[in-house]
Amino acid sequence: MTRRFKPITNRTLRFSLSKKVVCGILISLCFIVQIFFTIETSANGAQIANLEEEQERLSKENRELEEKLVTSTSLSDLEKRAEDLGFSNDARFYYLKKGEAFAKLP
Amino acid sequence: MLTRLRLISIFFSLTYLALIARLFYWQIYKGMELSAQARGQYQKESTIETSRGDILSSGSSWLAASGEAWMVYAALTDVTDSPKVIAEKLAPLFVEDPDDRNSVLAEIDRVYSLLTKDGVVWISLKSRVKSEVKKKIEEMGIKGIGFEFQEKRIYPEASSAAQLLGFVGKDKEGKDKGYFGLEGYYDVVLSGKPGFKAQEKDARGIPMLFGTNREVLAIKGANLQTHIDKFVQLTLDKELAEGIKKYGASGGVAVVMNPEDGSILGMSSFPSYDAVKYWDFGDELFTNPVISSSFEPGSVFKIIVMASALDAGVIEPDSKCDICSGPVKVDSYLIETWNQEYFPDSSMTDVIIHSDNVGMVYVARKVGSDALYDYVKSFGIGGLTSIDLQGEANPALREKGKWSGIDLATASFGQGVAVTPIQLITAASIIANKGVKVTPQVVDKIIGDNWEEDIKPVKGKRVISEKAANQITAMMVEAAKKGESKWTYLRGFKVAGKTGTAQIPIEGHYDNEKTIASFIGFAPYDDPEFIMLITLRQPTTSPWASETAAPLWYSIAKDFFDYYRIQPEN
Repeated sequence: MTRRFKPITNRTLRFSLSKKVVCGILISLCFIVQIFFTIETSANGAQIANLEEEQERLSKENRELEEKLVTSTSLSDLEKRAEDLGFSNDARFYYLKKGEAFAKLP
Repeated sequence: MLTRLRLISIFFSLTYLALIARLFYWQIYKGMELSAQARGQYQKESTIETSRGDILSSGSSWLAASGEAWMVYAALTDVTDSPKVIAEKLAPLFVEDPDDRNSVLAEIDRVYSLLTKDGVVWISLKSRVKSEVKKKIEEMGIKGIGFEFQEKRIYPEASSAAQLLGFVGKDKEGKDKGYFGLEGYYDVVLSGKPGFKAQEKDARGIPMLFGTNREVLAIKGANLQTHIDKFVQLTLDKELAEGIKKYGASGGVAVVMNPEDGSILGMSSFPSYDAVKYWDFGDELFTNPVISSSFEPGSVFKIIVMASALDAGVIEPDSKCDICSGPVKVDSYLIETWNQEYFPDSSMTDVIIHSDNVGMVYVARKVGSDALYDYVKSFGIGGLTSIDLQGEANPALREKGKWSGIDLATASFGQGVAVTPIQLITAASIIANKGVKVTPQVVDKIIGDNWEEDIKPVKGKRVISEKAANQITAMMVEAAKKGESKWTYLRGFKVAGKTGTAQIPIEGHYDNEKTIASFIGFAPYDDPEFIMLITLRQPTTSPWASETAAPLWYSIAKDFFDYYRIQPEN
């Protein structure tokens, strides 16, 4: 008696396995990509927040430096400081007549 | 069984209706509110503040700039220390002089009363405190005390040119706004425009990249570069203050202008105020008397009338005055000279040298009232000069055709005509500028972040001929050398000038005691570097300009001769 076996089509089996695997891989990939992008966007957001903080800090420092510069360029303060240090305006002026030779080479 | 089924059906129906009603309440009735609350949690909206532009001198150094200040507040729900302790800690930092025990005690009371106020959870304790004070308070680590950024204005030269610069106060909405002077006139340009930022943030406050983000960039206020020369300005401030004290005047103004292009090099006036603490001063000090106070100019006005007559060709410098031998009667009035000295057959140059009122009546009659009105108008009297400062006044000029004989006579020597100092110096600059009018200007350039607008000088029409301008200049040179102020004349320097002593009209008559003393002059007269007007209100050491305003003018001019490297003639 010859036993008859139903031929197994590997194709069908291979196809059904690979479909599940592919689906699984795709879903996993989607999850991984989503997780990756979530982490990435969150990290970028944090970086932006840090940059904003840094920008604010630099603006503040800039304001402070500008304020120091403004007050230190005060001409009246400078004049007062010069007077305190013993400087005074020189009242002696020498007027040179145009056309008159001076410091002329021999 | 049926009854039970019915009851269950009714129960479920009622439950369903209750559920629908509850959903309606949350989704429809409260929907908007909850949605707004949710948005408030993840969406942060903020205004991007912008700083006010700076005001710079001609040498690009600061006259006014923006600085950093802080408002100290208390979030009362977070406060843990007792109000008394907090008040005692903060008060010495809030007062100007911590050694002044009375002011510290008063400040403790003030802060304590604020901290114990009923029905508030947040309260401002002090505005505009410096960064150093903020730092000290932070170091104390008082819980519930916080800070909010505030912009403040810095004036490196203190109260110098306060009335020229104006100040920054608050508008009805509590926003910064410029008032008076340059701050008022250029408020829109200086203010800039605040920006806006809307960002979605997560629970930790970190921006969400894929959220809705909207940003409108802030536009920084533009800087103003002025023609103001710091040396000229500080010299005017210093010497005018000393002059007012020396001559016992109640106030005074000093203006220096380049007559060629109308640029204002310096402008000072006293009494003045401190723009940093403008609220401590009366409103009357905020207006700039150079552009807003009117006065009868007196004899300095004679140069305008004489220039008009020379241009009209009705007189020449050597024309003889045939009414100068004594007082002249006009209508029912008798016109005399200021010192009752008379010079028969005076030349027109002598009329200016002696500042002869009778001679000026002769000149005015030659011109005629209608023609003189037209000339005076052309010189800019009775009209705004269009200077770029807020608050310019324009005293009315008697209408054309309504000048009586006495109006014409008194106008010839500067009575019955009101002018502002800026009108007077602008009119006199026409003579210095060979007969051509210029518009006075304070700002030279408007400088933005990536742009610049150059404000060109505004040259007006020719008012008098060059010949007439040269003739009146020569008369002013003689007046400076030989007039009543000759004693103070700086020998050798090319000065054209004229004094003016005007009586102050009070209740329909002129006060004999109170005068306004002025001196206007330019140098060098053939190619002027500057024209300067000095006016002293009610000097008490002497009522005469020749003994007050004139020496002050020369004292200031001497510094300018050195500064501008103006050499003497010989």
